[in-house]
Amino acid sequence: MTSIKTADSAKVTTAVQSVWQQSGFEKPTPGIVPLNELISAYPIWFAEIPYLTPRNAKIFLAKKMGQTPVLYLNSDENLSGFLFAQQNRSVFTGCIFVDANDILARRRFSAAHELGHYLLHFLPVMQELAAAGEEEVMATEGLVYETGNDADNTNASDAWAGKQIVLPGLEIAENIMLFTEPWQETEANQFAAELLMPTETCQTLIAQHQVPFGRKREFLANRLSSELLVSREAITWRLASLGIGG
Amino acid sequence: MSYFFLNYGGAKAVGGTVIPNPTYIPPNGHDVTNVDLSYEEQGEWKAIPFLHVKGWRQDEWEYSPTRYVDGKDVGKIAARLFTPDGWPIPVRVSQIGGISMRIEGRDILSEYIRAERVVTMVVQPFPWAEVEEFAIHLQQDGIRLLPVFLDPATQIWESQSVTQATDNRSREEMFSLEEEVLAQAADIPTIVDGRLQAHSGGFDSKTCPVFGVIKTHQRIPLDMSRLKMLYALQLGQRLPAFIHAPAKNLTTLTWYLRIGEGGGQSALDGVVRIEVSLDWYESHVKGTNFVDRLSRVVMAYRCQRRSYNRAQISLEPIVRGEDRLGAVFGNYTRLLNHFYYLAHIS
Repeated sequence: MTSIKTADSAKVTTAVQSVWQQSGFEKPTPGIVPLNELISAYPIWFAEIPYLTPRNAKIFLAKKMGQTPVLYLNSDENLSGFLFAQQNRSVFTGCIFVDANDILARRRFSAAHELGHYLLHFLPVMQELAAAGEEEVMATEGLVYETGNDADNTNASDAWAGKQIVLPGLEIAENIMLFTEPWQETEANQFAAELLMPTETCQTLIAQHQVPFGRKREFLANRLSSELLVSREAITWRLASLGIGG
Repeated sequence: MSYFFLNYGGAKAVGGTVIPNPTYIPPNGHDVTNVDLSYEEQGEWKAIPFLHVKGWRQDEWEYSPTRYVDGKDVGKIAARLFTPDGWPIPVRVSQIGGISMRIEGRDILSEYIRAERVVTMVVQPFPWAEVEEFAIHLQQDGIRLLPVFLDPATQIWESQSVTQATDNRSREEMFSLEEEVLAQAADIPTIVDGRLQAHSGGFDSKTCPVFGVIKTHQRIPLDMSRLKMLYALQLGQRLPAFIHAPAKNLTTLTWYLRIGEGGGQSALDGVVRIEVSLDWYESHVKGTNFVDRLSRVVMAYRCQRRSYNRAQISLEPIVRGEDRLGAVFGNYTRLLNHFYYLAHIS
């Protein structure tokens, strides 16, 4: 009997806590989360690319790295987010790209989503490979939102992710392909939601703005979206997942 | 420390007048509206006197409004900066707020107040990390950044449209604060200043006795003969109630009434319009003389201060609410100078 793997919420929460600690914070700061500062605590650089596609990402990477990476990134499919992770001996680095044409709140969410993939799914495997003596590994992942739907964290999918895993010169490549499966997507979305909309912060804001009448969740979503610089759809989903404001 | 404004050529916008509550123009134009003028009067319309409603006392009436909700948006386009492509982006700095006033016997008391300082601007063309840093910087000083989402039909280079969208966003947030104070006790009969639709998030239109009083009249949906009748209304008279059903918005029962003597610059001086949710009306008070009673209460609370230039159409609790909010807001110039300091604009 095959068991279907599901998202590990506890693992996600631990990863989010470690991000804050890595950046020198004991716990999430109140208000807008300083995502830029949090990402900067890792050897990850990020960029905003207009019309982000796998091909454009590769061109950008080539400019940045000074050489064209051995990656099969020739698709012109539109992406909202893109992650490139590299292990060179025991050095781990990453690049996060987001589509500059997306709305600002979504760009932040996409960046947090890719950070989630890096910490939850890519880094552990690359660390294992390094420990096993692999000298160089490169991996990529791309984020696509469902067309016409702005519900960032409910419908994200990685249409071509996994096909692009490239482990040059490694026989074991086929055995460790990092296909981003639904549970991994769920974890990356949960990670982004918990990072950008911390439970404690949401609860504090909700206590300040709770209303006994009217369209409660819609009202809170409108309010909290600008308090936290996230999209209304993302905060609506978050409020629902916290069981608040129904 | 954020250098966001300096990085994008930020500069003060010279001049500009601080106008409380500038006109709100819906981004997609006015909603297509259907009206049913025959709801109360199927035959020929006549002016209806409402001052002599018999058999009730205003202070004993269960639907006599005892709460009044108002909002205020005081600000202006205070600065401009430029997108990486060189298009100017207007930045509005304002104080917005909502307040509810409560009638207790002969007293009018302030009940709930929400007031905020906000910076409103289009953020889309800028890198998220820089906007985030600036927004955090403002937030630490108690100022909220309100991102403006441009309608897909509005292009970033249409400067006037972008400015209008920026002003609108600030007004929308003011409506939101009004909704927040309204929603604290929307089961109590309440009058809101302006359209019900703008406050619809703050009450349940089927169960809550919330009524709108509109002082400015755009797009009067009456034919010529009824319009003439509207201009000729005498103090204490109203026109028959009719249904106002915008395609996307709340359907209301509405009517015009004269609560001020008129005689000013416009033929509509002294005339207001009342809106009631049709769902609520039909399930709670249909068949009673609710329309006359509410008209009379509205007139009874008309502002009596001759010094107030909109006294003819303003309600005393609303005017008191505006005064109270004005006091809470504090000095606008101080806010402006503080913003310039935070944004490193000299």
